[in-house]
Formats: sequence, structure tokens, C-alpha cells
Amino acid sequence: MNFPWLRRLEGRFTLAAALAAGLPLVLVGAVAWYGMSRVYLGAAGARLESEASRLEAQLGTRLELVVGVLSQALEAEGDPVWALRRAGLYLPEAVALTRYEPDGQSAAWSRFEVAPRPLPAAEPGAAETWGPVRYDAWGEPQLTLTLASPAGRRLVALLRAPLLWEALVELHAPHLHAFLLDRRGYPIASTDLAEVLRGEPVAGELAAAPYGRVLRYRDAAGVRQLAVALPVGRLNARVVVQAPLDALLAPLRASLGWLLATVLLALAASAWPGWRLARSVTRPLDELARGAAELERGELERPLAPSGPPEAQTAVRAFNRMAAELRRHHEELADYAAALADRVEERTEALRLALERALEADRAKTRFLASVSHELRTPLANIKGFASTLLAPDVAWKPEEAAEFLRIIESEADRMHYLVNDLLDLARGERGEFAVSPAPLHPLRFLRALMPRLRRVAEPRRLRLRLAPGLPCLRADAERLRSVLVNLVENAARYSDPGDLELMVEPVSGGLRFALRDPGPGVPGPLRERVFDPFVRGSSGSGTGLGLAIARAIVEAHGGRIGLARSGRGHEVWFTLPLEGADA
Amino acid sequence: MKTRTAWIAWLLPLLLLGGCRKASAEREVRVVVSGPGRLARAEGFALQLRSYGLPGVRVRVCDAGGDTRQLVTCTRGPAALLVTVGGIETRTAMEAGGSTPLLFVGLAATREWGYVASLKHPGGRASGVDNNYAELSGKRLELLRLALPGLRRAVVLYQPGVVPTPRGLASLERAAAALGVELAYAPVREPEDLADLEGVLAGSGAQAALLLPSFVLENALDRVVAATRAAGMPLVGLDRAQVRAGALLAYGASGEAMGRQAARMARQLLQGYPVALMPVERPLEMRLSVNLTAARELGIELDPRFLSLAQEVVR
Repeated sequence: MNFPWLRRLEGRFTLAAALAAGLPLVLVGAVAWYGMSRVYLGAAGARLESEASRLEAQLGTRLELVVGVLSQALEAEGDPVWALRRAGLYLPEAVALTRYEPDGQSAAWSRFEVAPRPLPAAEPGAAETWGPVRYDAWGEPQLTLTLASPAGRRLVALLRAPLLWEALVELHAPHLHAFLLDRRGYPIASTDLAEVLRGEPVAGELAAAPYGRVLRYRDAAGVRQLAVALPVGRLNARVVVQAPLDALLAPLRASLGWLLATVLLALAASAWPGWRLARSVTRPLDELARGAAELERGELERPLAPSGPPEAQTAVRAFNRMAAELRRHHEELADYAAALADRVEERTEALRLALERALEADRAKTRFLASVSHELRTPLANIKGFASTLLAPDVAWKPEEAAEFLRIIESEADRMHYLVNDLLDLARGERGEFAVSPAPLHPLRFLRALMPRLRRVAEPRRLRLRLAPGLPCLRADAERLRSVLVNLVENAARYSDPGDLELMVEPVSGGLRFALRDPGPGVPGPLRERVFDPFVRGSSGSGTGLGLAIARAIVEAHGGRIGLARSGRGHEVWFTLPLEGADA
Repeated sequence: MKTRTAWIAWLLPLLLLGGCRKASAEREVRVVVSGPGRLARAEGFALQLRSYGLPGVRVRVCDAGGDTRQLVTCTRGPAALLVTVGGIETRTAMEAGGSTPLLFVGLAATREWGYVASLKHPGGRASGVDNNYAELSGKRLELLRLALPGLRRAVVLYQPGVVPTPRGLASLERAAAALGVELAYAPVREPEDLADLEGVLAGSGAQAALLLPSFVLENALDRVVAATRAAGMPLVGLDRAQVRAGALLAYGASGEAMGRQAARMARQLLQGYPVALMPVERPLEMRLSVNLTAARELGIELDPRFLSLAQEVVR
């Protein structure tokens, strides 16, 4: 079953709280009401019984008085009418009195009649005889009492039964009701005279109720009554004291009613704040649940708004901090992953480059070996060849021819010498042991001395020197600097297009810039970055591939830099040297 | 701000609901009195009813002061219960109409008035206490004879046309016949008739005067007493109030007692008991009151045996 409203209710602990609090309240209230009403009615029954006993005693006293007064009238000597008048006027109950003498003569008195007829004489019997109840024209019950004296006189009295009660009743509580029932169950006296005059019988169970026992019954009007009956043996009647249950329980009910009303009022008064309080707690919980779900889906983009009581706001703020921390960790993780990927890619690229370099180095070494072998074998072959030629036994060389051969042998030996030195310099440079010996050097004088050699190296091209005016002195290793310039000029003369070369020297910040321009297209793009690496040669494949590498080692040993650049329609290779030179 | 408004809107009705109690509507019990002769009944009634402490019940005594036109005014206006203290008051209230329950206090010859179907079940809008004054008229003559054994002739002061009068006269005439007393009659129709009452009494040749229930005579009792004194004859009244006012003797229920008795009935009516089912009650006690002062002033020597019968002696 799927009931959205039930799910909503399930989430509201107010309902469960209300049920949990209300049900025991109702049960306790019911048990308390039952117990208290039982106790209260028990006490009320005791009060009724006490009241019935008191009334029965007073009624007995009254009857004793009535009998006593009438006995005096019975026994009085002299005019019996005066005795009857005195008794009749003394007793408000008396309606009519008649005294019979032993000889049958009678005297009568009546409250209304001047010459009343004698009451019917009862048969001689007991000293006190109560006859059946009779009713007058008003509907009032009347009792007939016959007294007999030992002397044979008899007195018959007609008494207003309700007045027996009226004379004595003084009930202690207004809701109590007392009445005297004759043996048929009709009220003959009561605190409510109208009840007597109506002449209607009371409930049967009341007329037959055991004496002295608290009885609960429902009267003719449907009112629940609590009653106690006690016997009045003289009249063959019973005195009953009763009270409505509602009236008896009224104080208790009023208290309980006020209590209930107060509780209901309190519940009603607390319902709205309670609901508000519950909502103030459940709403942040709902928000937390929603936020957790969004966080789980990765959709939580903004912090939850703190609401409700301080504890709930604290929880929401803690959740927000946790979410922010998670988000930050997530972003850091993503950044880290990205950085890691970049590093992997970078390392991969580096490895690839390293591999390429290694391969290139391998190829360069192969070429180097081939080149070195070639470069070494060529002068060595020349030296061997010219030496063999000179030493040939069957040839007599002229002195000028022999000298030429020896000059060639010397030249080739120098060539080998330079080559070996270059290799040694390169090895030292790669080990970081390349040593320079800076010394004060005037560039103008240095270049003037070097230019003849450079022009020879550049031949057949022309090499122009252009110096900026006022060049400062610098500290440099003149021999190494010379080697650099020779290498550069030699490369330019070897690999550039036909045209003049131009060597320029100009001051730059903190040093001098040397630049050699040639008209050629320069070094191709792919080779540009590695042209200063060892064993890298141009497409022609000529040379050892060591010149520029050694030049870079020398320049960097002086603390300078070396590079390639475009220059107009030509190309230039440049390097800088600091004026102070490198530390030795 | 919004939250504070919601709280106030919630708490204000609760405070109003908790602080308001339904005020009980006041119910007026109006006691209609024709004049001073019956004021004791009203006072007895009012005192007793007030002693019950019924919530929201206010007792107001409207005394017409002997003016019948004012009496009509007293019966007008809304009331929860009209209480009348005699025949003229009851008749005025009944003729005024309406459905307000009516409780009479000391109505003589109730059945003859025709306001109740029967004493046990009145069936109409009126019930109350019958004072038995008419039925006791003969008994008063007997008591007068006991007080004055030499009594031979008595004059009856009565108001012709009043409902209880025939019953009272019949009772008197039966008693007079039984006692051998001659009766003379002095009718009083209006207060103006009291002007020459002394002459009427003196001319009646009677030794004593007896009063029958009449609002004219009861409300002008002082003039009646003065006239009988002037005529040198004792007056037999209706209740002890008249004995205290100067009558020699009276036999009947006191106005205060009937007022208290009627107050008990009024309480039941105010508590919802239907007046049509409220039986007419009789007085609970009839007292013989004797005024020795009046006897002394009249030079009457009362029989000691008679005095022993009195429940109340005014000295």
C-alpha cells in the first residue's frame, strides 16, 4: 500500500508522541475517575446511611412526642373536649381527635369543624395501633392512630402525615432528599411535599430494598440515585434518604472537568507550538536527508540553510562543513588526478624525448663513431700515405716536395690534435668539469688579432667585422673564446648559402653580445633545438657535430648564453658573455 | 516578525476562550403585594428564597400600597415567576395574561377562584399555598366563644363579591348555629366604606367582630382595629400579624410561614418543575395567637383554659 499522507505522518514524531502521551493520560484518567468515584460514592453512601439513621431517630422521637401528647389527652380527667383541644392545637399534625369513654360516650375535636363527627372507633386492641394510610380531599396522606388506656378509654387521632416530616426534617445537604414510604411504597412524608401530594409510588426496587444497604437505582424521571432505607417499625414504613449520583459526583466531576478542561486547553495551547517545534526539528532533518541524497548524487551545489532550534542549526552547519570538506577533497582529488595525468603525460613525453634523445644520441654516437673514425682515418691515412711516400725507397723526392709532404703531414696531425682536444673538451663539459681561465680581455684588440685567422677560416667568403663603439673590457678565457669564434665562423662558412659573413660585437646589459650573421636559411626547425647538442650535424652529414656543443659549453662556462636567431633575410648565431666572467 | 504575529494570533483566542465565562442570565421573581396587610407574606417569601442562594435569581417586591391600578402595573414586565400574596393580586396577575408561572401565597378558597383544575394537579399556570382562611372562619368563632364564654352576638366584617367570602360566611354560619351565636354582617366593598365602620359596628349590637379574608379590610387593618376599639368590641383576625396589630385573637397560618412554604415551591419551579404539576399545598401549621394587651384595653377577662390553648400570646 502506498499512502503519501501516511508516509508524511510517519515522519512526524509528533503523532507518535501525542499518542504515546495521550493514551496513558486517558487510561490513567479513566482509572482515576473510576477509583475516585468509587471511593467518593462509598463515602456518600456512608453519609446517606448516617443521615437516614439521624432522621429515623428524630422521627421516632417525634412519634413518641405525638403519642405522649395524645396519651395525656387520653388520660386527662375532666372535660375531654378541652383535653382534645389542647392536644389538637399543640400538634400541628392533628386533623381530628375523638375520645371514647368506656361507657361508649365520645368527645371530638377537629381543626376545621366546630361540631365534628366522631372518628370511627377502632376495635379494642393494643395500646398503640397505627391504621392504614388514608387521603383527604387535598390528596394529603393521613395516619390513623388509636390509643387505648387500661381504663378502657380509646383515643382515635387523624394526623397529617407530611407534617410529621416537616416538623423534624433538617437535612444537612441541599441535594439530599428524604421521604417516608408506607408499606405499599407510597410516600407519606417527604422533604418534597409536592412528591407526597402527587401520590405516586416510588420505584419498586426502592420499596423492597434491604434496610441499611446502599442502593443505586434509576427513578421514574430516569435520574440515577444513591439511596439508603431504614425501617420505621412503629408505622410499618421505611425512611429513605437518597441523592442523585450526579449531584454527589458533581464536586468530583467539576474538579475533573476543570482538570480535563485545563489539560485540553493546555494540549490545544501546546498543539501549535508543539507542531511548530516538531516541524522546526523535522524540517532540518528533512533538509539534511535531502542534502545527503544530493551529496550522494553529487548534486549538492549550495549549503543548506540553517533553521530550527540551535541544535538543529548546529547539525545543519556541521553537515555544511562536512559537505564543503568533501567537496574540497573531491576537487583536490580531481586536481591531483589531473596533475598526475599531466605529470604522467609530461613524464611520458620526457621519456619519449629521452628515448628519442637516447636514440638520437645513439645515432649520433654511431655517426660520431663513423665521423670520428672518418675524421681520424682521413688525416691518419693522409699522414700514412705521405709518410709512406716520403719513405718509399725507390723515390728520391726533391727537398721542396718533401717539405710540402711534411707540411701536409703536420697539418693532418694538427687536425687530429684538434679533434682529440675537442673530444676531451666535450667529455669534460658533459661531466661539468669544463674549466675556463678568465682574464681581462679587450675585445677590440682580441678581435683584431684573431681576424686574420677567422678570415682564413671563412674563405672563400668575406668576413666583415662590425664593432660597436666603446666596447668595454671583459673577463674571459681568450683561447676558449677564440675557439668558439673559429667554430662559429667555420660552421657558417661551411653550411650557409654563398655570401658574406658579418661578425658583430655590441654591449648588452652587463655583458657583450657576439653575433655572426650569414645569408643562409639557417638551421631547419626540427634541428634548431638540438643544434647545440653533441654529435648533431646538419643534413649534409659533414663535420664532427662537436663544434657548437663545445661552443655552448664554453659560453655557459663563462656564465653566458648562446642561441640562434633570424636576422632580416639571413640568419645569425649569437652568444653573450658577462663582463665579469665566470668564477674560475 | 511573521513568527511573532503567528504566535499572537494563536495565543489570543486561547486567552479569550479561557478567560470568558458565560454569564448567567438574571431571572426576576416578582412578588406582587396589594398593600401593607399582606406584606408579611412577601417578606417571609423573599427572605426564604434568598436564603437558597439560587444563582441569577433576583427577588423584587412590588407593593401597590392598596392602589389596585398600581397593582396592575406590578404584574407587567418580564419575570421568571410571579408571586401573589392574596386573591386580588392573583386575579390581577391572571387577568393580565401571559404565560409566566404564578405562585400564590395564601390564597383563600383556591378551588372557587377557578385558576386550578384540581388541588393535586393544577394544570394551569398557577399553583401555590391555600391559606384555609375561609374554612377556618367557623373555628375562629368557636375560639372567640371559648375566649368569651358570654358571647351571644358577633358582627362579621367581610367584603362582598370576593371569592372566598361565601365559603367563609358558610363556615361562620354553621359554627354560629352550632354555638348558638347570632351573627350580624358589616359588608365593606371599598375603603371608603370604612369611614362609618364604627357606627356600623356600634349599631350591630354585637359583642365582637370577626374578619373574613378581604384585601380591603386586611390592608386597612389599622382603621378596622381603631373602629372596633372605638366600638368597644374585640376583633378576631386571620393571623398573628393582625393580633400584633391589635386584634384580640387570630387563628391561622402566619404570613411568614406561608411565605417560607411558598419559597420552597418557588425554588422547585425555578429549577424547572412545571407549575401545572405542582400540587396546591395547605399551611403546615395553624397557630392560635392571643393579644392580652388588647383584652386588657377592652376590659376583657379571658378564660385561663383558653389561654392555655394559645401558641402565641402578645402581652
